[in-house]
Amino acid sequence: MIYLDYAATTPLDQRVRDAMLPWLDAETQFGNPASDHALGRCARAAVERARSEVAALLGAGSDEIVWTSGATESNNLALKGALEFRGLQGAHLVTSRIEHKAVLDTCRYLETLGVRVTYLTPGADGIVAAEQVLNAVRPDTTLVSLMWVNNETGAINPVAALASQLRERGILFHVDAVQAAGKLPIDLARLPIDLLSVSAHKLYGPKGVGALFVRKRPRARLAPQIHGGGHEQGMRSGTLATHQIVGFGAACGIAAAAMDEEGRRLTALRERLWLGLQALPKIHLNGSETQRAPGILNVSFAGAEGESLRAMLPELMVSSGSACSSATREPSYVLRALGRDDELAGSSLRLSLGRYTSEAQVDAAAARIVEAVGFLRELSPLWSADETA
Amino acid sequence: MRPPDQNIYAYTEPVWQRFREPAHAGRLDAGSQVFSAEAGSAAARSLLRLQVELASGAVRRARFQAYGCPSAIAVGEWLAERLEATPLAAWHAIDAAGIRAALEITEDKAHCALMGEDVLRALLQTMSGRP
Amino acid sequence: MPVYFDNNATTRLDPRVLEAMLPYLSGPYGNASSLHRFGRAARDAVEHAREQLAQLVNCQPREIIWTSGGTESDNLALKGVTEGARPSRLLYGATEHPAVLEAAESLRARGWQVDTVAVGDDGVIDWPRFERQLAAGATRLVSLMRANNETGVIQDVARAAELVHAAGAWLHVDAVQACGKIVVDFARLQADLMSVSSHKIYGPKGMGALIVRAEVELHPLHHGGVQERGLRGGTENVASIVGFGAAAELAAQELGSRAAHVRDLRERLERGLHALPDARIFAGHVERLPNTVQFAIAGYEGEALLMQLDRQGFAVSSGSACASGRGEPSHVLLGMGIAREIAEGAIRVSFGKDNTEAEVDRFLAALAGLTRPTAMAAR
Repeated sequence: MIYLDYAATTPLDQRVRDAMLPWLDAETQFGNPASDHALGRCARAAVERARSEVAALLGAGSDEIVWTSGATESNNLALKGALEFRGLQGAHLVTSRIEHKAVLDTCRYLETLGVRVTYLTPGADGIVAAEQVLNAVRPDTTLVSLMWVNNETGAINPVAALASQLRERGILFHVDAVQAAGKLPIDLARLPIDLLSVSAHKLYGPKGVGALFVRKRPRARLAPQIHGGGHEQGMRSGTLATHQIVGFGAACGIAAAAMDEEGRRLTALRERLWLGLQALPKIHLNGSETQRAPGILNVSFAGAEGESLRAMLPELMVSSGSACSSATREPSYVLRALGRDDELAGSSLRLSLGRYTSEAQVDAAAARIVEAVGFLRELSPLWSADETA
Repeated sequence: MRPPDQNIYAYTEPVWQRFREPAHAGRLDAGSQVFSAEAGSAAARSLLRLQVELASGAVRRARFQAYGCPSAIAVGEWLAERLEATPLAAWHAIDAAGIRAALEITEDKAHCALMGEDVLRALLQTMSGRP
Repeated sequence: MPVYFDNNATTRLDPRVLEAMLPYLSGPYGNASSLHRFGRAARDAVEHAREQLAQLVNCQPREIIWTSGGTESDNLALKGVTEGARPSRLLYGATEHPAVLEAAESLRARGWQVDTVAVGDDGVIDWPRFERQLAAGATRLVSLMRANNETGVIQDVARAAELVHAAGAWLHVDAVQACGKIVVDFARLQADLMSVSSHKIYGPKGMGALIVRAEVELHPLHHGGVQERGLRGGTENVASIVGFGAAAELAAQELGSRAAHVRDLRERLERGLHALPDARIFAGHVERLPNTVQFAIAGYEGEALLMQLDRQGFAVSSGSACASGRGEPSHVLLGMGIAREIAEGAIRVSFGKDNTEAEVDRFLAALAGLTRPTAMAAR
């Protein structure tokens, strides 16, 4: 069993689990963090420690971290919250066609409320260039939302270059950093990004918890999307899930310490995997060769249909695209957006590596994929036509 | 290639068995008694080629090639099996509904069975000499 | 060991629930929405939990939408039903939880007329007034709680449902506090939407559900992703869903014994309180949750008493565990027409399945000590 789907979700790190367990188990650690008695204060202190750990990973202040139930909520809160606060009617928003569904679906919803949205198409390398964004902004542009690292190709967008340019123009900048946090250095003390979404379960933390960074100075203001007891400075109400938040904090602490070494190791493993796949002719790397997050390799195998390819490889856990869109069988909208035709988009695998991936796993995976692609190509009328042509 | 051992995406048993070991996969060399037909398209990620070789008015061999999901591949294998076992006169009775029932193909994969019917109709036309 | 009498704020995770969750907190397990093997196992677990919760509240499994908790459920209900509809009127009970109250009030900005359903001084819906209110104009949605989190007052939601439906409106029931403490039967209550929460029934925090009848046209609160039939995007929190399911199954099995146990404790506490001079139990004469007592002792400010009790190792509260309105008297008591200075004295005791008679006796002794004329200066 070889798990190569770290971009969809990561296993919980044992150390994170150990940090969480007392908050699920101990007699004195189950209080509601909003309660005003000893048990409440105990839970509240843990929540605040975790907040500073998440903030530290991002170079943010603790008071700039708002807990959410995950990245989907963070992205919803950022976009709807910012636009609702600034006024929806006639507002203009710039984003890209390769954003996560949580951003794209939110944008489509905002369009129904009168927001105008520009969807940028990335280059063939899967990157949205800074100039594209700057050319698309207008005097009435309220917000730009761009992902730091694409979840399917791993391509890195130039958010650092964009941040100060957008700040100069007075445009709010939201970055979906779900695939970047814990993998690339992020220093929000230096980078004038206004809103930034992160998720715990992509960095070996628990599912069901995320955060939105909301800048204090200058203050990014949001209309809350979940109303209630006024938790999280009024921006997000609801009883805080102490164990989840503690797990998120622990995961961020570990990620911060391990980032450099892990980045080097995963880059080397990814290159090794890519090299192993070179035994096959007619394979295509999807996304940038150079501007890429360490752990993601997305490859199209001409002549080998993606669903059959996955079925041929039961011992590999891989994804044919974003985990969120695999319930539909359309070829990946991300690969289509960077110019792959339906056939190549439909014959792709996303291989995403992580903390527990070994050289032996990578070698075994490459060997199995080479074999399976060969088998399916043998079966394909297209492939024989290709060869005889 | 060692066939995959685990049906983790829960394809129906008749689909899975044919997908993992398609005994009739292959291509027949052109010949006066070899007939071929195709259905589907690469862009739609489903393409099926069916071939038969006749000998004294009966099928000697049937072969298929497929590009597509496991259900599409299973349809090709099933058709090749059936054509080898069924007298020519009874081929017209094979249709999408029958293919679906035999392979227990679910609603969301019904297009694979339709492609099977299409390729068989096309093959029959080729064999009858019509364009 | 502190004495924990704040089970309406949150409960301690049942060790049996933790045991059910643990497999999903270790080893590689997939995103429940991805198709591979661990994904399938996770999906099966999620669907099993759906059946467990459906059993507890007597609904169809497909009527359940997982959320991050009661607050999100309430928001999803109110905003999801009003979204896309031509603004008309929305009614909510005067003693509703802040999640309903503030979600409802936020809809004014979208053109909705928002009114409260008045309650009497016993906390029970003022029925004649409610009927007149419904007759007065078109209403889209009425939101009423099954049981109040502070006083424990139980509303006759089934009676409300008939009136609400006759007026052509949908009924949302906030059953966060009632669920697991009394029988909450979604079908029999005739509710159209109903909120429940995991951490009030010995399940994990950060988990809840909205139960929605198929006829209700609901819009999502979180866009993105196909999870929960497109009504609630986001990667499933598998461990917590499994925990909620396990907690629901235990609640269904033990509902009767738990209720009897906490009812005994409540009666013991109330007998003790009656022995104190000037103790007043709010909504003491109407049907309440068996575990909840909210009271005040004349002359003593609630916050000060709570602080003293906390120091002595008793975890109780004034009302809801919310970040806003600290130091403000409870809107629930004010909504019942109780005078501000009395409401400021409110203390809520909410028992749980693990509390004991000895703890009640210790609490009563501590309270008696603190309210002796010499122990603490009266206001």
